[in-house]
Amino acid sequence: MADTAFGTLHDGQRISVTIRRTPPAPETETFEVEVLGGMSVFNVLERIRDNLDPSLAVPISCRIGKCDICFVKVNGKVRWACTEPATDGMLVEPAPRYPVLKDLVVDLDKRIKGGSDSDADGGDAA
Amino acid sequence: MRISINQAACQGDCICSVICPEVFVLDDAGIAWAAENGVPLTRGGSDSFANVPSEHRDDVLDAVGQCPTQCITLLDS
Repeated sequence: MADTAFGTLHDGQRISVTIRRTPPAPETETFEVEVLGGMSVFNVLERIRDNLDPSLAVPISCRIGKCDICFVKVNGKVRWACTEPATDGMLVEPAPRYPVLKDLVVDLDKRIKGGSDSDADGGDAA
Repeated sequence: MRISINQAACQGDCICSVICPEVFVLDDAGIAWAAENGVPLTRGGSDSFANVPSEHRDDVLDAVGQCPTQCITLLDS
């Protein structure tokens, strides 16, 4: 597999993506999705929403790393979905310390004061 | 490890404060300040360097790498 300038995926590759979701969807759901080389996490999430599960809530994004609001956790690290290269087997979760509205969408106006990573799915909003 | 933030270079992307809010605190304009015990160090000069607790070291290093403007300065790393 040849690395691209952005990430290690190649055209036509099928990757597994696990997403932490909110009810009524299962707590975590794994999707198998065909990708193109150089896709970002946001590109893959959009592809899942458009082709596999239209109920998946994905943060809005400028797609170019400018608007700074598509925070998600990728394999346990906070990243912007639009600038992080997608990888096979990645786990995508909502940004920590913010109340989750649905799936990966959080309320960025209401940070949970003193919250820990485990508070990502709820808690008292500040 | 100690850190300081160049507020003139910070453009308020705020990923540092999402990664480690114990050390990076945003003001009302969304600009980041280094903090000790949750209190932002706004005195300027050498007083603006905050000591990083060891439990937050990895998160701070992650935030330094993610900052788009590279406005976080590390000492004693």
